[in-house]
Amino acid sequence: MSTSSSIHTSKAPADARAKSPDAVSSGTIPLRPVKLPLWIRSGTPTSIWLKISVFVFILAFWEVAARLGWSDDLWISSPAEIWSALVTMTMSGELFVNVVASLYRVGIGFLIGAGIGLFLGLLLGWSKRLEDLLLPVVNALYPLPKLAILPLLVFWFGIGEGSKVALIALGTFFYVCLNTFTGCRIIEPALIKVAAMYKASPLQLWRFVLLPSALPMIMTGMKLAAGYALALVVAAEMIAAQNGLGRMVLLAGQFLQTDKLMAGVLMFGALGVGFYALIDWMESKLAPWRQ
Amino acid sequence: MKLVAENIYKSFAGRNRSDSVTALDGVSVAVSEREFVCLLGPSGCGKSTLLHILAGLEFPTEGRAFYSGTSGSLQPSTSMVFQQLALYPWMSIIENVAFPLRLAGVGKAERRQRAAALLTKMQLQGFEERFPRELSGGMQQRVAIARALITDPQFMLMDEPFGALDAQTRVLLQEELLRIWESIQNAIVFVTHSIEEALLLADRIYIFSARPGTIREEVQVTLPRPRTQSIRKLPEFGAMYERIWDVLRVEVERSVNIQ
Repeated sequence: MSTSSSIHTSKAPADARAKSPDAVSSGTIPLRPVKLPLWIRSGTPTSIWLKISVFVFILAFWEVAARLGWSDDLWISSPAEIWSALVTMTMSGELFVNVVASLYRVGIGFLIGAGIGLFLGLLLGWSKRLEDLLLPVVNALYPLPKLAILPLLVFWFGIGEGSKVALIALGTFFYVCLNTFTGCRIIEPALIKVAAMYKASPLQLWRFVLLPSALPMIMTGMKLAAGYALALVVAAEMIAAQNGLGRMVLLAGQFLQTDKLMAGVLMFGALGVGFYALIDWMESKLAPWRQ
Repeated sequence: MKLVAENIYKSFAGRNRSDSVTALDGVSVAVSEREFVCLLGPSGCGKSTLLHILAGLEFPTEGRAFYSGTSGSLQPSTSMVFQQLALYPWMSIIENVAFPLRLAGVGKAERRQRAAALLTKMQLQGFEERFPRELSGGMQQRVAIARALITDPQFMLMDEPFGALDAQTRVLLQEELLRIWESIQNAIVFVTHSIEEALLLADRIYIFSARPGTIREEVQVTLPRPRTQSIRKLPEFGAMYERIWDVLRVEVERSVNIQ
């Protein structure tokens, strides 16, 4: 601080000081540095070890609390108990069967819903006329609670896999469709004009301009849909299913197997993270210009 | 052959019938082959709108735009450099430049070879596989010009292409544009609000009035070619600058009062 103020005074041109009546050599006012609110956006990155240690600390505290008997095994299981439940279920093959059943429903439902959503979203974004005619229909159906439709879907597609896959496809559809449509609409108009000047066909416009421009929004829609699809599969499996992670968690609850219940929830979390990472990876492959 | 706009009147509908805006009010321009024409005027005077009409991207409310003196029924080729550059962020530089050829169905090998040759001419060799956002503003501008040139257009329309650049880069690109134009000799219609830029580049300048746009004056630029920035030192340059500024000043003052 003192150095900077001394630099200011010593660098002031002598003739200016002589001419200006204000700049008589009476006193100096030190320059006060502005305090930036650095806690909002600190320049130094937080160390990965510090981040990990937060998790470690929570797990350790949780385990110790359970060992010391601060909590009841029935209310909440300790990390070690959940881990051993996971190991047991893995060894018996129970976990695998249920994970595969849930993944199958989410996977097929997601592919169908995202596929139709992508197609219709691009169609709506491509033609103003179709937007005027069909978007109100999509918007009217979007707020309907999907779970409330499950009984109807059971009528249509049976109590088996069909109704669950349909439910997930329906949930996925709206997120992907509406985000794809928005992605087409927020395009810079000049990008369309360039293609139009060189007489792009409707198909070329769609392939080279609309689709890549909408891609980031499409991916955002898919991420939102992935989370929602997992929530829907849990609910559907709890309502009517012979297997699946949701069914497993429900049964564990009914038999008061807290460790198994929490292991199931943990597995759902892992599936969600994996699903997200997969879409992120897809985005990095499909949209390399964004890195 | 000429690119002609005749008695163009253009109004844009507002929210109500009463607040429609007249952008152009009876404007006529004609651009001959191999001619460099500047449309000079205060901002909001409709010169960009006229350029879009010449490109076929906007339609005049009254009047017409056409090619005259054409031989045969083949549509002469026109290309445009947009103010916002409008490079595709998802295409590499060479893909951006080759894009008009791709739309026309030119094979991959040929279009890449032609684009690469043009990029070399624009001093962009080595950047073929980069994405636009990795390039500086001046380089992006060169890519946009290269894309407009790849179809060998008879008319190239440029909408304030150097407006967003810093003064030094702008000077370099102006000279580069002149160098390229002198080597290929197509017609250029160039929109600008800088008198110096218009004098440096143009054979002929149309001076626009404030909105609604009309042509206040048409100036023949008699400065010798080939030109570089050093023509600023010629006494004729100063004289023409003063003459144009006398006309333009009134219009700029009016346009400031409109807004």
